Amino acid sequence: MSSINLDEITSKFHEGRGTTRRLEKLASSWRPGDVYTLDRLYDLVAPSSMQALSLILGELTRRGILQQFVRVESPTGAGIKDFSSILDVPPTVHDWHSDTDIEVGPENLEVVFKVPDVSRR
Amino acid sequence: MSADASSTGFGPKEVDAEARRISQGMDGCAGPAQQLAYLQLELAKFSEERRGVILTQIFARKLDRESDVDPKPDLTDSLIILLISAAITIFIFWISSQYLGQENFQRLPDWIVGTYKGIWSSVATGAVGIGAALLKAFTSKGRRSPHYLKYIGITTACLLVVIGAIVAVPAVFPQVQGRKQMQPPTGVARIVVNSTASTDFDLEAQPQPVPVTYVLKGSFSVTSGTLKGRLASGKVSVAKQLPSGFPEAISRISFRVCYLTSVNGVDQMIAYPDNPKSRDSIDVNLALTPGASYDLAPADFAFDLPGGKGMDRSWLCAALWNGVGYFPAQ
Repeated sequence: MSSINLDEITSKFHEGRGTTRRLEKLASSWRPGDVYTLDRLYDLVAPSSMQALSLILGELTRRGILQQFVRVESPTGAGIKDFSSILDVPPTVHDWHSDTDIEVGPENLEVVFKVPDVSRR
Repeated sequence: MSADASSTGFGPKEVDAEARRISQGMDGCAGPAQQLAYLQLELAKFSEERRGVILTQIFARKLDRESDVDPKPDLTDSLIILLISAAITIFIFWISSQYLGQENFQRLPDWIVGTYKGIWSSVATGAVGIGAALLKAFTSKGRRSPHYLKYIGITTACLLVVIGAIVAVPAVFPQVQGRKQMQPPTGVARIVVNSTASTDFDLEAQPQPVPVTYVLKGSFSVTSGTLKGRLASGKVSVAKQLPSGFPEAISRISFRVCYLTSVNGVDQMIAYPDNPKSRDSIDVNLALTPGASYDLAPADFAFDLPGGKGMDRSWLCAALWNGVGYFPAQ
């Protein structure tokens, strides 16, 4: 992951050297299959704003460095199922934690980012 | 940022505008299912790349809204808040002591100076422990941190209130102070400010014995903060042997109020008026010849009582001025 020119991406969105350094540090430890929530990435990268982070993540996703998923969560907060697109999320999902069908709404959703397998990139 | 900052050809402003529009639209939906349907319907209008960025932005906005709730300070935050608040409090007291001309905060205890010096050094060098923790907290750009200004303000105010209470309570309520409040000596003529009743006095050489004995008898009363008294009789007797250098004469007998008041938390006896005037004094010319004895003629005296605290522990006293000082009587 160290070969990625993250400075080019972060500077595109006018982020400072600190954001780049933290993103590089994070990316250097990435292993295929690692999953990060948006909140977690915000804490680790500490960009100037959420807006800047979403743009950086959009660029990383576009370049195939990360994969974006939409995770449906149980009301308890545990993940139920990941979908590669928001359009694929059904209106109801079976919550295997509680063995009930739950109605899916934005409150049950979380955007997660996954480090893809090298073979798939 | 330029409008085409994103490679999706969709600038930050456009992304944010779309995310805001869709978020607002979802807020207007009746329930979760309708919100999801609306979200999917709106995002389906965009390409896959743009859809991902806008979706991320929608959830980023949601997290931002949630983060509007001030996060609770963690251990490092609490430490920062306490250190800065304590520093501000010390600074305020230092400024106050400068203004009041007191030296209480001119020289701080070594442990306070040492603590702050140590913390500052470790922050400056980015050393391990507290320095590294504080440095990390300060340099975590974008990190959702607690409202430091609010917490520091509240903590500083609390510290000042506590310190103020510690200082003020013993002054206002001396009974809560650990040590027992001093009381006037026994056998003295107490002055009751709010009473106009006449009080008899019998002042003698107290507390220390001198080779001159004297007795001043009479009565006094207090009216509108002024003590008016009459010396009915008095006698001054000189010992047959006097030490060398002993004063040669008594020139004036002044009457005054002696009272106990708390100065910086410690009871002290104050005599007032401290300088004798003709109104509160009887001028005499008593040579301190060994073995001499004098009877004093009746005379009136008056003086204004000082305002303020301490008058509840006051009594009449006198001073027999001898040129180099005075013999006390109470």
